[in-house]
Amino acid sequence: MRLSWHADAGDLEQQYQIHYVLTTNAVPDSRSLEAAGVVRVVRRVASSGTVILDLLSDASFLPDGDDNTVVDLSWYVESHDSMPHCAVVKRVVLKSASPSIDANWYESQRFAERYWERFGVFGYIGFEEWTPDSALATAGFAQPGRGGSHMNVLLPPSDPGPLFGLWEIGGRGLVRKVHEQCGVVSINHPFGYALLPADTAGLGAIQADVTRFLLNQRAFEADLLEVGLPARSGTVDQHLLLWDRLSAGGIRTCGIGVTDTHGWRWDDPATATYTENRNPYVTWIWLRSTTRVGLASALRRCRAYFGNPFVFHGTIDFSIDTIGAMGQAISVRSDSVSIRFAITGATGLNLWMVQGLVTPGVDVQYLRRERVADTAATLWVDTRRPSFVRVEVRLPDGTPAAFSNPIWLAK
Amino acid sequence: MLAAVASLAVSCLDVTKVRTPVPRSDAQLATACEAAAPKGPELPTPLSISLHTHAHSNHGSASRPASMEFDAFQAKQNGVDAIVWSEHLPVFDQGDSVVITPAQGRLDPDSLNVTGLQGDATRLGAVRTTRSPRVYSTSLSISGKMERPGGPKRCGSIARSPAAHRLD
Repeated sequence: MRLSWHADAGDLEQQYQIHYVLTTNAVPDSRSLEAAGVVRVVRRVASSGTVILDLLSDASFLPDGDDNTVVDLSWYVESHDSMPHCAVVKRVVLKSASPSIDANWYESQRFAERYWERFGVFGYIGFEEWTPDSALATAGFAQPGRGGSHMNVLLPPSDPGPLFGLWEIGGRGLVRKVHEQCGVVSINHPFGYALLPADTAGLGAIQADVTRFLLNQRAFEADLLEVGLPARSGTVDQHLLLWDRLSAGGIRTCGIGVTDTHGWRWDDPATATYTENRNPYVTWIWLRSTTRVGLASALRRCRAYFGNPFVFHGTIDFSIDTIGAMGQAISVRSDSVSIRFAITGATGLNLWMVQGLVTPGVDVQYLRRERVADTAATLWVDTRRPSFVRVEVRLPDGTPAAFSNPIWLAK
Repeated sequence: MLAAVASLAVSCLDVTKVRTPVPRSDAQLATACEAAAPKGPELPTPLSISLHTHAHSNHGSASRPASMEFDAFQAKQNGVDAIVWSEHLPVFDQGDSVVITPAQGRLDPDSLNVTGLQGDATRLGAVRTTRSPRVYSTSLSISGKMERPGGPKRCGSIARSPAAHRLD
């Protein structure tokens, strides 16, 4: 029985296994480590009937053995007398010892706390919901996971109580209920969860469909949009264009960068020999507090920027006079304002300022897209019409590195 | 006087004057939420966060389906400060047992391996009805005996094929 991957002692990445030896021979039951990460369990069984195996107990022989899933299961019949033998397995039943939602939620919290103590990595438990609403189903976006059919939720409470009211709700209904509980919601992989195919011919039509759909739905009023996602049915630049089109349509979503990892090593796709990680993006967040409430608040206020941490190691922020900062929507009476950049760690990288108009329509009218030489520059921007302004950091060849959130300038 | 009382009574019963609460907009909700959120200055440095991370709902979408420990270790190794685990919601509901009935497998006559069994034990939501992740015990219902030679060869050995790789 193959379980999850672990990284014991920091240098041994391996998949845990339990080897069960079920025998009709008269042998004592035993449990031992067969190898690092492998438990061998010998059980004497009858020649027929039901065999109950306690996976949790057996996995507890391994470090963090409780932090596992069953990944794969195979079984074999072994003959010791040179004769063919046969075993008939009628069925396998996998049954949880902790079936309740509460128990599993709290267990995840415990694991997160354990790894905070061990690694110093903050852990927050959210969830991904993918119940489509009728609009998503009608659009055919449910199966490929497009247009908001998969949403991530982070709620301020650390207890699982609010989950019960959010079960199997999607689209606008989910967003509304989460907002009622002061949580935040993201639209995940808007163009779909599929990896970027070699043949990208059909992606343009899909992306146009998704753009129209999200404009019509006003992005369900979700808080966040996965933009920093280099290899999920679109490039980063294609995700940026979707994001700008929403901003131009007056729909304010906070851009984030994600991995959507299901278990791969964090490595730099540009240099690593093992490179399953095609979305090595993170989101940097200016927090007031590292509590769940603090994280939800910072995301709601959009005090965030995102990028590839293997390329960009600095910080991004900017402000407009004393009236606004990155991530905010502000009203401006004057015909122009000055934006003051506060960007660090951009040596060797190019800084770009992008300003787009907020106007109806699918296309974006860019007022400005220009290089900025000074990472602490102060620029004047035209505010006679509603617009949004954001910052891009790229390698000299244009490769994406990091992206600010906009400031949305209303009249 | 009586007319005035009657008028008042009718007025009280006039349902058109009953005020129903106006639902607050999402923006109003956000404002109310922020009123209860932490105040004060931001921390001096931003936190780098992996916002969309799976461990127990890995459903074979990566070559190294992760434990939470694996994710946390990877984050630490690469200077990522925090993880938001976003497991598929059904992960937390383990009420239903997963039953695998090995009835529709395909026999490889050379290896005697049987693959392609019906019954996805990953419970990971690729198909909504096949919930699973943290499974703590299993039972094998075995009937039939060790057969003598000449018994049905399809029973030689059985292996469950891994779940197809999916992402979400």
